[in-house]
Amino acid sequence: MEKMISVRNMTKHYPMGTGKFTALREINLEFGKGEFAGLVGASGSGKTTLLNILGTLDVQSDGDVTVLEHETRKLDQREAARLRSEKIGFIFQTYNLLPHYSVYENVEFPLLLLKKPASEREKAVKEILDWIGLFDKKDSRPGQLSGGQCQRVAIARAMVKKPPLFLADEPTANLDAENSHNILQLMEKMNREMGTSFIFATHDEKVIRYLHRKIRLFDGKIDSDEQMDQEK
Amino acid sequence: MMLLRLALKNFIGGGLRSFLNVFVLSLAYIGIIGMQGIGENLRRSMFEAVIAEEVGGGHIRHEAYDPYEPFIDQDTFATMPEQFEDLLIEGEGTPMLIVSGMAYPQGRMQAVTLRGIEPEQDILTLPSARLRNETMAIPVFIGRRMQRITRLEESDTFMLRWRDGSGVFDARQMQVAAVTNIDSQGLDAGNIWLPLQDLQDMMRVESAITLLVLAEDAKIEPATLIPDDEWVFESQEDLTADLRELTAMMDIELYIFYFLFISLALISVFDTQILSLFRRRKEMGTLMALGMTRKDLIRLFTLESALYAIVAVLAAAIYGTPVLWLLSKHGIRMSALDDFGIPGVTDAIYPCYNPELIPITIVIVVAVVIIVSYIPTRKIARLKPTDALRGKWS
Repeated sequence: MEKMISVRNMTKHYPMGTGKFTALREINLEFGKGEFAGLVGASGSGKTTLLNILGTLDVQSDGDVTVLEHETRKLDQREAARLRSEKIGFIFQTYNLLPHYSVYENVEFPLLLLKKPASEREKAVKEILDWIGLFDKKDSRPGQLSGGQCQRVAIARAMVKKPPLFLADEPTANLDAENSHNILQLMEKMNREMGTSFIFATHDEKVIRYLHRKIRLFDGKIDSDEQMDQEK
Repeated sequence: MMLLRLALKNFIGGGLRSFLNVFVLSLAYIGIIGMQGIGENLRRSMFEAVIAEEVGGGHIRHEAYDPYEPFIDQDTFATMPEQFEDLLIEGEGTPMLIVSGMAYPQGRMQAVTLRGIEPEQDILTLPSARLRNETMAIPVFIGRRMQRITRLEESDTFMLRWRDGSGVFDARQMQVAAVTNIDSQGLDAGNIWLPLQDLQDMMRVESAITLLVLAEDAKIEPATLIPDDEWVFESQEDLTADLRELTAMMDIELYIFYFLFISLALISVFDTQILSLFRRRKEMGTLMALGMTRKDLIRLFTLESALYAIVAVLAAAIYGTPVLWLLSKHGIRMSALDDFGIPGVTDAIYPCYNPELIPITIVIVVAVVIIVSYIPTRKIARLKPTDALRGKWS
């Protein structure tokens, strides 16, 4: 399997008072192309911190992290922004849609950052909205949508630039069972049909059931790393 | 272009917040331009009134005459030198005799300055022609302020007492030929205007004058007219020195007003920016996660503020133009200034707007708004995406 992410002896500290708090210690991990993996564990286990480091939103204190052939420590703020813009799709627990923008504009936004021409943007946004079944809501504002619809828009926004890697932080935490199921099926379909890699940070059993690989974190360390039945 | 589009979207999405900012900024524009218009009018009217009614192109006065001395002595005038004759023939000067007197309007006593002027003169814009009244023994005219003090109306008579050139007291009945507007307060309150010839006769000083007012366009070099040390030339510039000091003081007051107006606008923008930064941290985190650089985020937020300033220009143009136009047409009642004796101000001020001022004001306000909004926006440079996503500052 083609390697997408490599983490070697990675540690992350945060200053706390006069000392420091170690959120992650001695992490060694690899993710290949097309993975559908999850970082699972209780609150405070370090899964969101790890996801943020993989997404270049944060930087490790020690060790090496290589994401899509980029050593994250060597990236300056601008290069990291470009990597996120071009190759990483983020999905957040609270959707984080831009409130003043319509569904169409929210989905179009990453393509604006990539300076894609208008015709290309229009085609890509239409395609993706059709694919997630929200084309009829294209003019609605996030405030007019249900939680499930908002998360689908967030997925469409992450998907529209066709990134090879998706990072999803508790994507179903604010959704009911039916919406969670729909969202996870959508993601699994993307993974299956497009070969997109997904890494989740979750403690939601509904998500865990869908994972192909489960990396359990406990107190900032990897407790277990197992392939699930689908892959076995 | 992308940032402009996003800023515009955020600006529109800002709703009431954007509207209030634009409104406050547009008020600042109108306030600044309006105040400048009033200041400009005051400055112009003051100079115009004083020059037109009092100073002309300068004075050649008797060296003992002190315009600030309330009681004018008998030695402050003298027979008009021959050298002045040519100037009078050419219509480039008009003589004036100024003496003290006491008026008794309706039985009350009022110290007055008697000013004798040629009824035919047209160098000063005073209504001296109203003194050509052959039905009255000695016609006089007074200004409206003097009319309020003396309660004299047109055609009223009153007793006037004075000391003639020999120091002998005399008195006579005067009749008010006209009550008129005199812009320059120094020539109005406490002054009674009468024909020069009559005043000379009353004073028993043939051809005596206190000063000669030169026409603004007088071609004769005044220095060549001065016969001896008894006469002194004062240029228009000398005679308006006090006025220039006054307008300089008023300019400072106007600057204080500009500062207040601009401060008002800037506090509004600064507050909005601070509030906006705190309220929109999560949005900033999202934008960073989506790949926007901090530099672009700073540009975006600064551009949003610049939009407030630019849209405020349009708003000010839409509702401010008719307001400013109405003010310039109908004026602003300024009787308080009239009572304080600011020359040139009568019932109302009619702001006159300097066309150069409008673009300058716009440029200054827009520039200052951008600077002020940039200051809190710099905090974004220190913002960590993970903290922003959690709604925290680093």
